[in-house]
Amino acid sequence: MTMQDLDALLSEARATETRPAPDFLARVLEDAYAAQPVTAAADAVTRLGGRSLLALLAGWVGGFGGAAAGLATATLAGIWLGFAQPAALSAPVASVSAAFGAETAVDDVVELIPSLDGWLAEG
Amino acid sequence: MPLDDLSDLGDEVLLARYAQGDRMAARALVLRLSPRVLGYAARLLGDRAEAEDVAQEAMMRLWRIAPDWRSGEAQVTTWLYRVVTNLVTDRQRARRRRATNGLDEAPEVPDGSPGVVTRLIEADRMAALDAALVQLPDRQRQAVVLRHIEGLSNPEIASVMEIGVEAVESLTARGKRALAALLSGQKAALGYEDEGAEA
Repeated sequence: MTMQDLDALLSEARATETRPAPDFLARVLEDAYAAQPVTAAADAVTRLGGRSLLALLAGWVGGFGGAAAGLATATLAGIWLGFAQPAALSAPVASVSAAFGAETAVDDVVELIPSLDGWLAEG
Repeated sequence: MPLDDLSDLGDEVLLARYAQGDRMAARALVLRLSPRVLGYAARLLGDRAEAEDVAQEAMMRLWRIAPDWRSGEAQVTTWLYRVVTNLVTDRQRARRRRATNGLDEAPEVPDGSPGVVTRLIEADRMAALDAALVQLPDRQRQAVVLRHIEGLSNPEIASVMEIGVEAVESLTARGKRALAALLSGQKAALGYEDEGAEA
């Protein structure tokens, strides 16, 4: 291979764009947000009655990064559980249903909060 | 400010905004710098998954230093290249320590035998180049990639590798000769016609 061939090959490599995977970019961005300093200007947006709501949450969870990550995780988990019933929960749900009656099937609805009419009828 | 409006801002300005809590600046920096950092790490390591780990760690170090970044002392990209270079060097040293007894390190000058490359490369030209690059000695590979693929100047490479400009020139020249030797005999795979004489 001549040096001209090699230069051409290296130029080709230089022009080839690296395309990061979306999950890699997501991880890097998550790191960036978690490590990002919270300034007075940014914090002012979330102030409530002179006291920062984020600072309050940070006190509960253990730091702003932890609070933000915890809230985000809980929110996403809630949305996911709302859309799909994980298979791993089928067995516990079935056992709870069975405890409320032999005729209760897995797909039955268990009324954990009876209506007011039910309480009144029982005196 | 929309993300598009940040495209004209320099890396240092974005980093300063990031340090002030600007989340759009964080997104802009990730989109702008991550591909370069990842591409460089991948060329040095020859392993995409490992390169992602290194790139993520390098970017994490950037986030941490952002509040203390001293403007004008170094370019953000040059600083990142240096961090990646050091992280990769650490990994390669650790990899060699884990190597089984009796296996020597790669020779300083590759033997250029076509069969070595033939076993490693695919028909793809970039795969052939990458397979040859990973066989170069570490410092030669770093210098060649920084100069000819990342497009840095010799003084910038000297800053990244923390060596003199003359050493950079020497490493680059030796690296290119070694690359040409490794890729000799691969003209068919690379799409070049046999010209009879090789450099």
